[in-house]
Amino acid sequence: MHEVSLVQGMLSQITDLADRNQASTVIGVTVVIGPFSGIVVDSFSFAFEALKHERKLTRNARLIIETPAPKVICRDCGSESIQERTDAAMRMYHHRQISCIHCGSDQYTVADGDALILKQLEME
Amino acid sequence: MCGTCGCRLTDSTDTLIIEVNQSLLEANGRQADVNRRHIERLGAVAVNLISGPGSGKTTLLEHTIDALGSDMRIGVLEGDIETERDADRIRAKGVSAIQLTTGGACHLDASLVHRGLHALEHEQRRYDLIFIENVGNLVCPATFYLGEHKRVVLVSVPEGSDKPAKYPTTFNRADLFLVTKTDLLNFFDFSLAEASKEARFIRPDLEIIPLSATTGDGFDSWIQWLQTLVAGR
Repeated sequence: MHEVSLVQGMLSQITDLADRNQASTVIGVTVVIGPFSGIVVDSFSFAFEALKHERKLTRNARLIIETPAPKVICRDCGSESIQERTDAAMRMYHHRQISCIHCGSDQYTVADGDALILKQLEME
Repeated sequence: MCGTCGCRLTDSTDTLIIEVNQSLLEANGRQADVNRRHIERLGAVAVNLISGPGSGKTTLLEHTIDALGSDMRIGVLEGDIETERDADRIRAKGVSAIQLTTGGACHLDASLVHRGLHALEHEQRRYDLIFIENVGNLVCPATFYLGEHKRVVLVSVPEGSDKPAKYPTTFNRADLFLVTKTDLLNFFDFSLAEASKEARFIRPDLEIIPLSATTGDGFDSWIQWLQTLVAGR
């Protein structure tokens, strides 16, 4: 949802940063897309590969997408765990089969799931 | 360029790596923060109304104006893809309304609201309460902070009690959940218990008010919520 306009916005952010650092070429772009951000990774990549050609600066940039596993925080005992497999976490989140490994509670919140961040740029 | 600072005082072919850590929604977020300050400068608090199409947002506003219009200075920003119909309905109640027509976008964003706030200010210098009626859509508006103080999500009885489970992002970011058209409970399989349970699973501190704008059932609780919000400015 809105991957194209998000990529357009990101390319503007990248252009500003490249100007500020007097770079002429962007080599790599690292983006963090959380599993509950509402953004479809494939659509985001597709939009990037299409739109990067609009500027000489980004024409050859490589996109690296990180999809971190979300942190699950137990509401009863407060302990945190990281769900290793994002798919598994999403299934568990939606079907609510998850339970806390410390206290067995099935009441939890998910943290850092909705991140949508331009993490790092490699330029020259 | 120099791999440390990016300067050109060297022939080095190192590349510069910079840690950015900026949200992709930063531009919208910054404008939304500006909107928030603008709203407060007008003396008001703002409420963003989010729901699917036809849940009863505009009807809720019409009845809210009937109840509060003589005690409070109300302004409304109406978001729609096409037509001025909703703004016309609000104006018919004697309240300033600005129609924000997106022409295609499925949600309001901070820059549209920014323009709307200037238009509202042009009509009247001070407000107590500003409503932003978002485009009818239970998905996309959730992503775009507009500068509002509170977010209210509406689901009407005919839409079904499974909506909180199906739209977790929207409910996770809501401050108040209104179940509307409760006068139709006898005609539909809507379970208030299920809707509440699902919604509170996603957001445990979510306030829930079932109401009917047309019969007035439960409406006092909504009015009181608004009065408390405005009093707390």
